[in-house]
Amino acid sequence: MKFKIFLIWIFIVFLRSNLISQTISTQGSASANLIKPLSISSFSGEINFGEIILTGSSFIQNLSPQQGKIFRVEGHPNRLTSITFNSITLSNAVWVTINGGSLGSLSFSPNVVHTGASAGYENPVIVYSGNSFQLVNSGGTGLLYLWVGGSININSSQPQGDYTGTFNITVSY
Amino acid sequence: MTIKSSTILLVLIFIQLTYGQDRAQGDISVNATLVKGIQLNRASGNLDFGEIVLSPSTTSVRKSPENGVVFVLNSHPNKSISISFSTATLSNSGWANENGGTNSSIIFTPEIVQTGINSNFVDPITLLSGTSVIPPTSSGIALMNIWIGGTLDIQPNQPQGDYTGTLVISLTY
Repeated sequence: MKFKIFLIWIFIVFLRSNLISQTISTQGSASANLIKPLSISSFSGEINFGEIILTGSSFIQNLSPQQGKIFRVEGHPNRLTSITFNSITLSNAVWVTINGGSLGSLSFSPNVVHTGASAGYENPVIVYSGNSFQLVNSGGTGLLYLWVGGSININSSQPQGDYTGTFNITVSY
Repeated sequence: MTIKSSTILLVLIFIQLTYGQDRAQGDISVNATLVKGIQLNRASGNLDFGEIVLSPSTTSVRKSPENGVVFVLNSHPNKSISISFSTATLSNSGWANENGGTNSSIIFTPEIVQTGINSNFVDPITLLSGTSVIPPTSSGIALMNIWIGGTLDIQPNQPQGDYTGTLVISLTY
């Protein structure tokens, strides 16, 4: 009887031992593509039309992208990036508050090109809002230089003053 | 095992979809200074010296700015304007061609003053050729009254006739 109990105890211990020490092994690959975040920074230039003498006639004043503002976009190499922007309205309200005169507004229509990874104005490609372009790989960093110029429409009775507004350009994956 | 692998794969896909997107925005100020063109409008007066009886001696005939011609200048606020002018040569050729006699000329030496926004001849300030002035601002417009007179130098043997000529005054930003 004692021997039977001993055998049962040994069996239970063996069973528990097997259960506890059971090992199941398998293989699985884990991967992650770490994407460099997008950034856009001011590189050089400005969008300043300077002084424009009013003539009493309507006319369009242009500022070429080459003479405008350059943005440097950094992101993941070869990643397709969409670019969006809109026309904006400039106002002379601040100037009128200081100097008097009539309030006026000007519509600024942007003209955007990119030169890939080149910071020089070489082979510019026209960028329309909503277009997508691949960031050009440059030493492991995706680059795109955006050049922003544009035009303003000046009416025959446009009030004088310092006109200003803020242009936004958005890049996204 | 299959379920575990699928779960890991789904998680990885989810991570990639979630973190593979990014967005950046660049802002830039757009500026244009619309400058009111310089306008010079004749307000009153003239530079007609009337009839002058010749005398055998050299004669200087002066017409003071107060009794001359008045122009009202409108320009851009707080913007410097340079003024330049020189003597004018009057000729009697038109009269001599019509009536006979001797062609001749007289030198007119201008005398120019300004009274700011005051349309009356109060506290006149001399304007010399080659100098600059910032006209005072009134309701968003720079305004200045310019008074022009001058002197004719008539020689002892000056031929008779109607003498006429053009005085050119240049105002530039």
